[in-house]
Amino acid sequence: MAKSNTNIIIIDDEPELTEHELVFELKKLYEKVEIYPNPVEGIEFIKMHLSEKNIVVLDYRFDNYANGSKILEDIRAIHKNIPVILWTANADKINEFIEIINNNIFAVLPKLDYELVIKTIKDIENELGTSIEGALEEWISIQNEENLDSPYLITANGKQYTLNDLLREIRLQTPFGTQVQKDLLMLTIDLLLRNKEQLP
Amino acid sequence: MIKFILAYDEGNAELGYFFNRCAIDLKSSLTADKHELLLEVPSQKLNTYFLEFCLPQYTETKFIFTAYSHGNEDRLTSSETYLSTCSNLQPFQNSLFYTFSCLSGIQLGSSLIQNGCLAFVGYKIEACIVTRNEDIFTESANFGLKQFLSGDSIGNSFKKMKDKHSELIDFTYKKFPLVASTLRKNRNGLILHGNPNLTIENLL
Repeated sequence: MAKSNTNIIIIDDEPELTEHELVFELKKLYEKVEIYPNPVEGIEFIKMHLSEKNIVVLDYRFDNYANGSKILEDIRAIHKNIPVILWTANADKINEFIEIINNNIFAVLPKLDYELVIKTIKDIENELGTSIEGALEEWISIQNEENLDSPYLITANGKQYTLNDLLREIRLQTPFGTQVQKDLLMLTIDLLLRNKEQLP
Repeated sequence: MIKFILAYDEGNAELGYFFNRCAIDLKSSLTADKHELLLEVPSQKLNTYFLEFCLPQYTETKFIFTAYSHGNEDRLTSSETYLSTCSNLQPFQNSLFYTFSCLSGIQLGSSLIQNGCLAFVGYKIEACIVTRNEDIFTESANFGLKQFLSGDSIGNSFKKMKDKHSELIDFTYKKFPLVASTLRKNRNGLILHGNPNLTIENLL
């Protein structure tokens, strides 16, 4: 079976993580499994790969860095919707994670259950595949690369957006980005209502 | 023979090439149908002074004013505002006003009608185009006017213009979803003010 091209980004400073069964299993399924003991480098990787599909597995406690809640805040500053799984040895202590749960986390999972983490990653991939953002990413990925940074959408008020700009606007959920998503949804509804497309 | 005044901001940095394309497309229709281009106003002349000087000469004349430029709720702009709700709108009495410009359907369109303009076709949204698909957007932008020139009422032309947008959406959505979603947005942002029964006969 071909490996998925979704990037799995694990931000966790556990020293033996590279030997962990989770990583071993993920590498069988995904082309790119990136491990970052240093959260700053993990965030940098996300920043450099905004146009790709990414899923983050984030630990909560770090020895030399702020906790997962602060790291998630930094991730959300560059990508409002990137799916993040919090995996922690203390998943039962829900009071600790209220802030992180309220910051659009996909799941809080116990570290012991790596199979559950893999299942959740697969669920996220399915969800990404059916989201507007995912569909747009897929469409953009088959466009000619040299066209990605040249003006694509121009408003009659003179604002210009490249395809990469559009992705960025959507990921940061700016007013324009949410408008583009809404326009694509409205297009879908329009096609359904005029019987040009049908629901499966 | 219908008389035309054609304003287009071909010098605009972002969309000048598209405004020019729309103007060329329209001019070729006028030539083919032997209509009269009364006044052509490209970027260099697209300013308050020129229009305030020239337009009053046509106050008694029926014409179609077509504008391809940036716009806002209450104005049309080039490097400056060249027409707004504060301008002398009397020359547009007994005319049809047809524009591809953002948002001007919201206030400017209503003001023109209140000042005796017979009908206004424009946009109540930020109209957009997608580069490398200019043919499609030129066709959709000019379709209503061409339909009107073929003898349909402006109300019917407006409806057929929306239908043309839908036809182009259906033609593009599988390969170019952003083109289709932009066309849908433009289609739903179109607005007609004034008399929907206006026909070419009323402007002769």
